[in-house]
Amino acid sequence: MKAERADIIGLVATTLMCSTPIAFLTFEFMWPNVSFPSIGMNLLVILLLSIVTGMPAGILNRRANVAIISVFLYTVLGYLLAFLFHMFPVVAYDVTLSIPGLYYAAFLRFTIVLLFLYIFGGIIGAVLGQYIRDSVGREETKVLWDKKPSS
Amino acid sequence: MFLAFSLVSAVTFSRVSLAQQQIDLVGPERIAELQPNGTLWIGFRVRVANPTDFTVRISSISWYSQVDNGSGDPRVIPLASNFTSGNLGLTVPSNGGGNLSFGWYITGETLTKLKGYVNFSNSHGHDYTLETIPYEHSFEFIGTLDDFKHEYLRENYLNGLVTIELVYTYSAEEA
Repeated sequence: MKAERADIIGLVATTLMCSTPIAFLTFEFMWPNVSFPSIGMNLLVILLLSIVTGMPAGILNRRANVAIISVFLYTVLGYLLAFLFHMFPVVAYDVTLSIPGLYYAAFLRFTIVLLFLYIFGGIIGAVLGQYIRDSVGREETKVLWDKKPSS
Repeated sequence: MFLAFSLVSAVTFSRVSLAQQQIDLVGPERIAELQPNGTLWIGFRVRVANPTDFTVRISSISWYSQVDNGSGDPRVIPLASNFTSGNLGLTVPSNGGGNLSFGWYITGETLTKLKGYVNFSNSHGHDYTLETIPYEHSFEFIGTLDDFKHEYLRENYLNGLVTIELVYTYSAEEA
């Protein structure tokens, strides 16, 4: 499989675009009481949002394997962003602020559940996105072929 | 949009973490005054400084005072205690603070024990009066920031993030 320029662009665009919902959902899952808006650690909502988040991966990428790779990539970037948001008090205010040890434990504890939802929902979203992309493509072709030649 | 949500949440998280460092007890005062009628008044005053933008909802305040009687009998002379629970709805306002003061009149048998303590101590080289006994004080303040308190039973760490716990103790060893 040779990566084309369009694949790389689609991959990068999807990774950048879809990583922010993952970052927010991860942060929200850790601290629902100080997050805005709070979805109250509701796993069903997280799954549905993961599916919606995965849809651009299917729409923007022509190839299904690239779409699925982008799901993994944006999940990783989203986790990194979430970690950065957790470091915000230390980075922005005071380096001597202590970080509770539970913070790390909770991140480890939640990783399995959240990763499953993000990847599972993301792949379903990517598949749905490909359906949408194909439907739009078919519709465009149909319109083009139906167009009467101008006299 | 999600980036904006994340930033707002992260900033709130930061402000809450910082508030944990900023809210503090200021100027604790231990008071013992002999009244004209012979009773003793034991008091404690402290200011809860809250320079943050969050109102602190008080969950509980407790204070007690006692005298360490060393190897005497009883070993501890309890003097005063006070407990305030959260259902009173007390708050410490934001960008300022609140003063807390407690007091207790000591009379009767307890006062007699204190006089005995003074006499015994002075016969062993101390120079105490009822007003200068090293009264021990213990004060604890627990509150939560604004409406961030969470009702999940499983996730207690969420309330840990927004709980302000301030403790002041003064013992005879520090006198």
